[in-house]
Amino acid sequence: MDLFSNVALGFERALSPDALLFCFFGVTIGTFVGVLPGVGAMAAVALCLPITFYLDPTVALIMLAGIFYGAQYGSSTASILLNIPGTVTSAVTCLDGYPMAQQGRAGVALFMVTMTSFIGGSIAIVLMMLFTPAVAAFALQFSSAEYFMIMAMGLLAAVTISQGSVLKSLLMVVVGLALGTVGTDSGSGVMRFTFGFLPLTDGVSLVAIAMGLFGVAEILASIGRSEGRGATPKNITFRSMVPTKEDIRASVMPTLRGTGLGALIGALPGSGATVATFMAYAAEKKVAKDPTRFGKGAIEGIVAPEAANNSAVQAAFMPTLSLGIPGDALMAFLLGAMMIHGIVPGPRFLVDQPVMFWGLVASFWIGNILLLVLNIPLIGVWVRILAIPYRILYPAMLFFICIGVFSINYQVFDVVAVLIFGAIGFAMTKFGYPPAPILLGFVLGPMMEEHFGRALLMSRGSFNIFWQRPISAVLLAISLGLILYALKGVVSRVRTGSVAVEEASRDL
Amino acid sequence: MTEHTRSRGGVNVWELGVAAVFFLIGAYMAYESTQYGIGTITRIGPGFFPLCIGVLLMGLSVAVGFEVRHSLAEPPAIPLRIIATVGAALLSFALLVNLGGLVPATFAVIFISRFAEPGNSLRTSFLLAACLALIAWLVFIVGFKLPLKALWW
Repeated sequence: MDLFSNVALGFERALSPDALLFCFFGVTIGTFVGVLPGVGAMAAVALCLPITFYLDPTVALIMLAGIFYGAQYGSSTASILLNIPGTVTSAVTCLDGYPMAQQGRAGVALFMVTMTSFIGGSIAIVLMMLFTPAVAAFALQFSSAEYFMIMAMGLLAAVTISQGSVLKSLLMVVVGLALGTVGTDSGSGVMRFTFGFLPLTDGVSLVAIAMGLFGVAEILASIGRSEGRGATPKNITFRSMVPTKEDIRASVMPTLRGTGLGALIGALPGSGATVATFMAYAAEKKVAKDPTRFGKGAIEGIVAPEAANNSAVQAAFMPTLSLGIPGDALMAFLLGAMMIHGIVPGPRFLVDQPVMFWGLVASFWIGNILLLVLNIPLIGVWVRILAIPYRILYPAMLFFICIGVFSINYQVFDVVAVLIFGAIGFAMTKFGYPPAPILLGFVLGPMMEEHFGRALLMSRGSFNIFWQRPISAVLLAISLGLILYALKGVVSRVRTGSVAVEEASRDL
Repeated sequence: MTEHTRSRGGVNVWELGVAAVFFLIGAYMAYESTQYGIGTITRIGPGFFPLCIGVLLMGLSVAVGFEVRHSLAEPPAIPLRIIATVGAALLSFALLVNLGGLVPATFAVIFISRFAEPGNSLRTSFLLAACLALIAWLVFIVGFKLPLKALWW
């Protein structure tokens, strides 16, 4: 079968010494930033991006992807031991993980979480191997009209799923689109919104936006609130990690359910791993015979969300690589990083770059196995990292943000831009405007403009093209459905005015 | 819903102000994009998409303005010390990285940003900044050979 030769091709690439070495670097850095609360995978990718310019693109991609899924493994450690999520995707794990730690079962919790992460990730990789080529083959029939519609649908889905005010999220998407227009227009060469300012001719730097809105804004909000940290958790012994038969039996079905849910949600455009974890937790609570155990150290409450976030992160590569459409802001950032490397993901990607695609997929296996080794025997090392106080951590993070942003273009203005976006990001979350949609809009905006123009050129200026082509019509119908779904809540909120004091989350 | 009654009639100036900022950005975009050429519907010009975005921004910000008019959100307490220090740290990096090189820039960003929290010891700041400057030099210049100067000569 064709699949096997492709997989073999992939492993051949992924097992070469350079790919192995950088896969190892990637997952180690990923685990490290995942363990540390307040340092997300995005910051780590931004930092490593300039380094990867000097690598073979396949190896670079393997390393950057490794940071992403590696962070999912590490993030549960802080949730369980300190009740502080390492990244937002394991916020749910706190609910039952921390009570388990208080009952002296931290070792078991950490072990089970790593195992289910591995299982969830592995199943999702298999699904990805099976379905990505099919999706890409299907997408080869897409014309610009379909691309425009699927991107619009993805943006709408991301907005309607998000918590808080739908209107504010939508406004942020449009702000992202607006930022995407800054710079030289690819079609006509006209400079737009540069104010005659030279550093803006290439557009606003993606890394500066991401690091400002998420990195610097987070630091501004966290400094001085770090008193709770620094409590050294006890060391975890191997003996304490051995789960009972009961634990394993209770975890099998939740792991599978979490994996399924995660893979499904991750594969959809517009929804990411964070949503998957919350849904997996809610689902477990619903099917449980005794839902009152949740929140008091139920093992189902940690294995299902952790399986879900790992499978969602792996599955999210499917739309990103086969369609070129990211599921959430994190993937949007990775997509942007790939484009900086000159790799254009999309249906042609699999056909044109089989070694790169299958090498990446094979590296997921290798990475997940490496993560198992890193996380179970070496858990003590990661636990000790948690003891680093924030007052030492944040200056280092600021420096890493500086060097990461600066060394993309060696442009001083980008460092200033980070500061500006940091201040904006800090202020807007206080008023309930979420920053994640900005990133999605920014990455998708220029592509949407291009496809929109091309679709109209194809149809000689008739908008009919968007509903006369069947696939495009279906996507349009889904988009309209999403709008209708959100409309009722929006209209009532606009009429009466909402009083809720909402601080938007900096979640992805 | 006691909170609801309390806010009735009260208009949240801050929230409306934020929405107004987005409205103005949209209005500016819409105006400016007409200068770039809208083009025709068959062959859209460089101003077409920005014009749509500008109009969308204006419309959405008005809707958001209506939604939040009675909001109880307070303007954030701006932590001046933190923002000023982090700002100074980042700007010092921006200023020094070309003039002084990576090592002084690294030292500056770390040493300055440590002042954001009161009570951080100067000695630790110095050591931390020196260590990371050394690591930065080893990793980025010696290791990955990024085209950056280590020092000013």
